[in-house]
Amino acid sequence: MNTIQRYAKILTSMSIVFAVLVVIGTCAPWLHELFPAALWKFFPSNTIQDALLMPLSHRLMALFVSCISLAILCRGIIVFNRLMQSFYQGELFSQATAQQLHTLSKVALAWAVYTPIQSTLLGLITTLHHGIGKKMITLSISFGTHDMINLMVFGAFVLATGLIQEGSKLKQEQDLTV
Amino acid sequence: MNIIVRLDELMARRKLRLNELAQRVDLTEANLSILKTGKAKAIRFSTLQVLCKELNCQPGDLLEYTNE
Repeated sequence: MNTIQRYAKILTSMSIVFAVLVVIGTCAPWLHELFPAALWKFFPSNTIQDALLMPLSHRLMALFVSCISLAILCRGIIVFNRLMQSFYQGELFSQATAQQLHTLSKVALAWAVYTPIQSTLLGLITTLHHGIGKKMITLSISFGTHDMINLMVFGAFVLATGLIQEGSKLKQEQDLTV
Repeated sequence: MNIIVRLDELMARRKLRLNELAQRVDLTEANLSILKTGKAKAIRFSTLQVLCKELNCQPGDLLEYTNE
């Protein structure tokens, strides 16, 4: 087992653990009746306080909004696992791995675009039960924060896709050199 | 492709089979087959050298350029 295969295996296991934690982390604040109270200390106190005061209909709306980003993330994790599986099998430069990286870049772009939308919607939903004049809607996109990091991750995936495609062409030529 | 590999003709003239030639020039049958069927993208000088030596021919006998 070489270094790439070893890391591919470790990253696959880590991504599965991460996926489980993210699913719990997304659902727990909005469906807190279903989860033990001991779990709440792992969440920011304002998130839990907001969730405790919100009516069920608003919490379900918040859950729906959160589940969209969860779906994007899960899609990313599934594709990432397939990519790691390809790497584990020693398939580094192929059209399949380039396609998987291309999909990952699309997932990263979707994540980058949806994150500020989610923050805005959740800000509104968590204050919907407040009185008139106390509801909040904010849209924040700023340099040097998560938004820019998400866009940089997208750019890195696009670059990696190009590199793998070039590598795939070189490998094909190498395979057909006698 | 404009370069035609005449390996099959040279082998037929010398009544050589692919596995036999592969053994003599120390190449895999798969690689020789790629060359014979014209799928090869490139050929190493070392491969050309052993093939010319074994088939007793010049590189020009093995490769031909057509303008089509």
